[in-house]
Amino acid sequence: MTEALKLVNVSKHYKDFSLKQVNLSLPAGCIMGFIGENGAGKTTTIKLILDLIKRDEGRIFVLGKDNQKDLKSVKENIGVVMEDCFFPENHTASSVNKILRGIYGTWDVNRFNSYLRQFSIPADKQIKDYSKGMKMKLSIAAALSHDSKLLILDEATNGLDPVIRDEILDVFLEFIQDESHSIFISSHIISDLEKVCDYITFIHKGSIVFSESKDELLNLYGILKCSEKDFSRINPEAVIGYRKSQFGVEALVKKKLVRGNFVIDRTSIEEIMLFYTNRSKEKQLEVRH
Amino acid sequence: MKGLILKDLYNLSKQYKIVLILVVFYLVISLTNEDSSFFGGVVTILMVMQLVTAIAYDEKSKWDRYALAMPISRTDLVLSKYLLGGILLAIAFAANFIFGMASGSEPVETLIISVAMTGVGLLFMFLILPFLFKFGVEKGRYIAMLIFFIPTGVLVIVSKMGLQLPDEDFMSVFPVIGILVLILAGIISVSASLAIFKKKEV
Repeated sequence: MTEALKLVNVSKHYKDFSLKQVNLSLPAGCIMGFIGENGAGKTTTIKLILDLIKRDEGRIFVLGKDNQKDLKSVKENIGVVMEDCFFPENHTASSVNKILRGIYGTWDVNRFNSYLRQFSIPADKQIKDYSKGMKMKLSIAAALSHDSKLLILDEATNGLDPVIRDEILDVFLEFIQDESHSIFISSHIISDLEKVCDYITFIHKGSIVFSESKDELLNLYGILKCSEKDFSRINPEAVIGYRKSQFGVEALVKKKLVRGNFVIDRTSIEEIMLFYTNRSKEKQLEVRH
Repeated sequence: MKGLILKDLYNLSKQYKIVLILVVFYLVISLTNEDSSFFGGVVTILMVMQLVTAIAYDEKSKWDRYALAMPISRTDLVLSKYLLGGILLAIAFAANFIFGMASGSEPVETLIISVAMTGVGLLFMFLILPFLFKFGVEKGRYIAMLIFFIPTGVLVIVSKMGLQLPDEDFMSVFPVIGILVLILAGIISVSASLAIFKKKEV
């Protein structure tokens, strides 16, 4: 099995939102960041992967198995962490340990306890008294305490302070040391993703804008700063989007397509996403006029 | 499945103080009115309501979404609720029987009453579970109350009309009919719940 996760032409239609022809592929042993604005379709995609909602078209393969036929056989190997903590609030870490031991065949009580110690989570405190960071750490401890080969994280680090986020990212990096382990993480804290991801998939209004290796993206794109006059001389197909400021123009460009002698700075994934998003907003405005 | 039942029992155990107070309260009423069937009926309904409470806990914490990401199928989730209901009603049956014996009734009569009460409880559970799966607990509670009050209301009206009690022959066949009805209701209920839940977007 070379792909931990594969989506082929997946679509899902709602009354006022559609996920259209989503294609993505996560090679085993890698981390893929899934970025997009709020409402772009990230959570819908993840729910489709887990078969929580039914897709209208396409096929989804999780750890090599078709998710509508064989998903139960691989669920032992999937660890899921979502934004909300799903354990009932009057439970404690020890009761969660007992419950999950009765659900997962590969549940490792000792591993869970050692994560609780590492994260400083008291065993007998009720979950409703946990801070947000503790709830998240508990969910992550649970996701890592059985034989997980694919971690799926949906906005798992939202609302957490930078110290905890860093701690959690270290845990993920440790997880990925094993080559058979993969991570699919959706977030709009792009700085976190830039630190750890091998691949970045960007979804916007239900469609995939790009799904590339992070290094490729950073090699492909750059930020060009120049005057308005100079900007008008740049070939348009090289420009993804631009911003006018009082000093001139700042544009996201495909480095190889720019003709002429211009200084192109290194960009970041966040800037790439912002320029792409602005571009579609401009196109919308154009259409209206 | 075991983990699911554990979770539900753990959730409900937090309520035990309230349940205990209610049980003692109804016990006292039943004893002072010398009406043992009142206690039995109430305990049975109480247990069915505990089942609804367990489902409410799940809804509040959006448990189903997380559960389906684990090695649990939709079938497991549905069946675990029936199993929980069965466990709760077994407790009600035991409570019923013990109370009946303690208040000095004959063993056989107590057994029959306890079985009958539990049978009614099971029927009630079979009737409301598909609605709970379809509509959730908020709306489901109203439907549950309707399902409870309408037959009770009918029975009260019928008894007030002073109809003759059914004769001996009917009474001896009644348990067999009762069991058949229960089995049929159970099959329909589980099939309906499974069909509803399989399609549900979680």
